[in-house]
Amino acid sequence: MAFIDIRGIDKFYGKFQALRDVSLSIPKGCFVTLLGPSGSGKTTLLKILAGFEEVSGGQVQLDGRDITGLRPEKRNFGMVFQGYALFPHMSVFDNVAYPLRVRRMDRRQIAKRVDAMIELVQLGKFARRKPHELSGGQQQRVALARALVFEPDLLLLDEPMSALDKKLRVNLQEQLRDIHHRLGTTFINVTHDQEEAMHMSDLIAVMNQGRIEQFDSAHALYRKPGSLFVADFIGKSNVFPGTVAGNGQGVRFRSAAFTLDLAPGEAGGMRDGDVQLVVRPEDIRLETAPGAGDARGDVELAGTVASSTYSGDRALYTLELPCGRSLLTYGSARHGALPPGAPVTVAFDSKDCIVLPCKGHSPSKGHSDEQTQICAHQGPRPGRDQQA
Amino acid sequence: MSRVVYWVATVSALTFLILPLLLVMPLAFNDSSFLTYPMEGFTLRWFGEVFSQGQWTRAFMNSLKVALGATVLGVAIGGLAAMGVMLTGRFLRIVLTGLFVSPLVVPSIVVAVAFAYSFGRLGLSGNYGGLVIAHAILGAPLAFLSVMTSLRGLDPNVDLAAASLGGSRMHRFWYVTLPMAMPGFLAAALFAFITSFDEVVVALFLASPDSTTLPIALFAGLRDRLQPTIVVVALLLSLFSFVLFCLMGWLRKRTRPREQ
Repeated sequence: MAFIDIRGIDKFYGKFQALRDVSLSIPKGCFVTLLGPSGSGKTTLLKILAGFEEVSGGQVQLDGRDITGLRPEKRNFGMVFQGYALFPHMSVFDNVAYPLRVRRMDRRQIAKRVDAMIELVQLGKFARRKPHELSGGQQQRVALARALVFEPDLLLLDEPMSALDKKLRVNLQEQLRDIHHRLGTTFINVTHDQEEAMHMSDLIAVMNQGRIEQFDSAHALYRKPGSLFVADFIGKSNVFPGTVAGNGQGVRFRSAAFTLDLAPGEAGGMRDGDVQLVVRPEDIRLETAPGAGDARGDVELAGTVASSTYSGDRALYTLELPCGRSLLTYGSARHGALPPGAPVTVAFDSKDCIVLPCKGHSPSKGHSDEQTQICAHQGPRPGRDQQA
Repeated sequence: MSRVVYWVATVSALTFLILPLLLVMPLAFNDSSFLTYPMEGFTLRWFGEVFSQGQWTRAFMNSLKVALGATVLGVAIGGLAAMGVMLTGRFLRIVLTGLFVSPLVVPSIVVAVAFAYSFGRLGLSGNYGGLVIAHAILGAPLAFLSVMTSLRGLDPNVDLAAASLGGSRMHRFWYVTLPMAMPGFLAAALFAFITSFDEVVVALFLASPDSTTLPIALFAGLRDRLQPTIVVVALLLSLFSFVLFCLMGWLRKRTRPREQ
């Protein structure tokens, strides 16, 4: 059974609808990320989970218990804020001890737990300092320790890394991942950074315009996006609008650039109508040298290099096809990137294509099989009590 | 050019504001019973006289008592009002702020007459309690504004964080909001104290001969017997206020780094 069950949540701010019928089942011990562009409703959903915002409709359940109207202080959820929200007048130790003091825990017990937690986030040396004497990354770790010390049922993270520079962010991501593994607490993280989401999460809920577009593992989101929005938001993609029509067992896809026969399993259940065909740049093979003509596949296209982005290990090319469309593909950069204007051929296979219905069709709400397996290994781990 | 304008403006403003004070001050040390220049010699006689005449010390103690009472009451009223107003919606906040600040706008003579009439009926006129209440009402808007300003500067997420960590509303108020708004409360206390300490008009209407405050004693002295003792009292009062303002500046500076 789901640990956190979000059922049909609606949220209005005046006439603006921030959330539309959002439902989400989160297994215990999972690291879930709500991912979406700004204004997609991810932070609103997090605030509703924390109890800071009331819902306009729907229900939130924790372990089968309705907590929709419960005040934040009664929920036993930890929260880490974007701007840290530490208590500026308290030392690091007192900040972390706050939730335990509120719970009237024994003084010695508090000291023991707080020390262990401060140690866990590697701030042992800074226990007596005030928050303003710490760097951003250290402050964020204090916030994390404070939100975890009372063993909350759920940890909510509101864009915790967004104020940090990239190197620090990657470092903190690792630490967060590690702490999640050690404690086994259920984490819900909000971010607009898809890389961060993919690095850390067991499951990602992609949100757009107040809806959940897809709730799946990073791999499933990338390889089997349920909508064009997801395909476009996660990673880079080439999108070819076209039509499909039945052709024997499979279907035939037609677009301005090419025609392609797809096997029954490759068309995403579409038999006819307007579709979008998505191909990831890394699935497109670029010939080894200009004019070599060794790019072979189900679809072979000729084009010219429009521009390139060299990144050392490889180059990302934007090609221009004769029909006027552009195409993204990676190529070897061993001898430097190809110059603009160079004629090249590329190829890709039907098995690497993703066929999506055009807008107007509702995105599939179903999850892939991967989702249920992902969190099966999670849950509270043995040895957790000694940890805390 | 702009430097010239800056200096001319600064110097003339300072001259205008401070010169009269500086001109009067030396007369406290003048060896003559008249408040006239040129000075006839240096003496500390008038200081001795101020401290030996019981009326000045009594008036000072009265003022201190009234001001302390008015500070406690005014900060409690103004501070709590500010905290309450911060919890309301945007529209109500504007209306309530206007209402709480309104005593500042009404001319003090009107307020004084209103107090005299209403307190007379309630039997509060002429005693210590009435004066404290009246001064608290005058000080409350200033306390309200300074607490409000410091609450506005707080990160609202800090209170939310405390709530998510399990802090009840009361607990959060005492252990999170109040300590963080402390600079505002200190400034509020100082404003309320000074407002009461040198208030003349309302005190004139409400004070009886045995609850005479320092400003009233000064006022009476000016009217009855113009002596250098008055200048001495004025000098001491100015020094007192100066020390208080320095204290406030120091408190502000000390608490500033925490606000980041």
